[in-house]
Amino acid sequence: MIYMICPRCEFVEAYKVFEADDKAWEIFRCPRCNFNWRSTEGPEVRDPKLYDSRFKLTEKKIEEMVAKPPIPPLRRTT
Amino acid sequence: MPFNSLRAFLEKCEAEGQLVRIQENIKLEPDIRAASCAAAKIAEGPVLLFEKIEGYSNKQVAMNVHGSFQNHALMLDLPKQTGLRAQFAELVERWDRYPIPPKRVTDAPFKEVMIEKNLNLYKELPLFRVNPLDGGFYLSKACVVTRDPETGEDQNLGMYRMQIKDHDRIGIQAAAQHDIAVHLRKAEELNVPLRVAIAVSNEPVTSLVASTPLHYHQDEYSMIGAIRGEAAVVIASEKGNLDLPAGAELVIEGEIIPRKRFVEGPFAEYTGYYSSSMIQAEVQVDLISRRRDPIIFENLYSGLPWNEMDYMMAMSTSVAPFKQMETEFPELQAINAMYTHGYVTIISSKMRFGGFAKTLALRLLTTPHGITYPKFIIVVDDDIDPFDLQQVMWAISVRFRPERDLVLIPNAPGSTVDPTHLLRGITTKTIIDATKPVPPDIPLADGSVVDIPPETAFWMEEILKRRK
Repeated sequence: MIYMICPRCEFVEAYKVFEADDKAWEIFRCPRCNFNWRSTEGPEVRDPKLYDSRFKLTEKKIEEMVAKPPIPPLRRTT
Repeated sequence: MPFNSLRAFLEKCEAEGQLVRIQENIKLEPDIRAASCAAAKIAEGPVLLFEKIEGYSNKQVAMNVHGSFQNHALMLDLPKQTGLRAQFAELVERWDRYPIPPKRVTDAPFKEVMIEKNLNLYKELPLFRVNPLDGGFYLSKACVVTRDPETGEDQNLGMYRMQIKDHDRIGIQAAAQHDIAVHLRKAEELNVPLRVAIAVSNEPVTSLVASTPLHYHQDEYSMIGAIRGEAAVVIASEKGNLDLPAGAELVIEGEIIPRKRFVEGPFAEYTGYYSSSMIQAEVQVDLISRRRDPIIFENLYSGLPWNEMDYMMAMSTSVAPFKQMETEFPELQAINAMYTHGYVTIISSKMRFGGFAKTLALRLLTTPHGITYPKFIIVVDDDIDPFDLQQVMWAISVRFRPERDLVLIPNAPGSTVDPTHLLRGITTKTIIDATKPVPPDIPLADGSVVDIPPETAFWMEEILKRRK
């Protein structure tokens, strides 16, 4: 497995998940923030340095994310 | 004649000049989103059929299927120039045919290819990033089927944003106000997975009804039958106990993993803004069934309004609350909830007595859709067409008395993706009573409306004739 840096959260274990039959492009995914991107998209999508700062994620931001919908309490069994 | 598949509807659109084939090699990004944005912004926007997709030798993409009121009329089997108010009236009438139960079949084109091993969503669908800062590739127009896991009843067909996150994993937005969230909450209370089926590329009334806010106990398939005037055609899922639209191009089956949330989004929402990344539910896929290639992947462009989503939701969010309110209030004339899923909603009605406009606005807020989405409600008299904004603005200008007719309800439930929120899911509801005050309220000081001269209609025709 060849790892890459996620352009969005900069996790270092992003990897290739699919390649077009004619090798026109590849798709990569980040197992931490679930970002997916295609090799033919612009550098503002592929390059961690150019990714829009408003949408960058960090481990801390992920830990603080709100659950939608909230997870309900388990029902009590009698 | 109702359409039994997306393909049948595309044929109709082509015959009516409402389909444009894009035959050159197309890049998934940014070509599809840019062309789809354009199609909805031009007059009488056509369906776009992308026939040659870079990287997929045998897949096609259909966009803007609902993306004009002409396409919307064709979907309802009406002449394509049918006006808005007439389409509203037609849907109101057809709604009363509910329920027309679905017809069950045992074979469907999407059962031609069944994939249970080495599932790969990236291979099966020509996925693309809908807007540049979306967190991934989205199914933005697929229909999702679930059933109440506790009772085994109350099957739901809905449309929710879904992010493809891995070859067999899909994030799904189950917002608390939607029926799927009721199913998910019960499953999670019981700590069991929720079976789910996702139907991709459907005949257009299926998508219309899936995005219509029906009551929890109402059956979407029986409403599809009512709107079409002919039973919806369904087939059983391979796993679980779900009914699937038989005309679909591709169906994904799986289960929502209970009591877990995973990073999802952002996604460019109907508001014209990106929603934030949140942790949301996820589907583990265990079966993909589809037509033989070339399949057509239908998706929705959701960006800055107006776009296809606004056209698709315009009538459904207007007709549903109208029908839910009219049994109690027969004075109702029409509801226009076309603006940003009804964030701004206009109610037109006869007035029973003074203050009645407020009653109507408050009742809207207790309909399934009204609980969250509307936050700016304008009530006008029955002499105002709520679909004619010139008339609505006139009514506000001359009938609204701010000191008596403005109501603010703070700390009320609101849409979770409204960019103005201070607390997510909380809003202030605004009611603008732009009706003429009637007794026992104090009438307008100068209450005599100027009549249109009775000869106006004659002269309008004359002028148009002479202009030619």
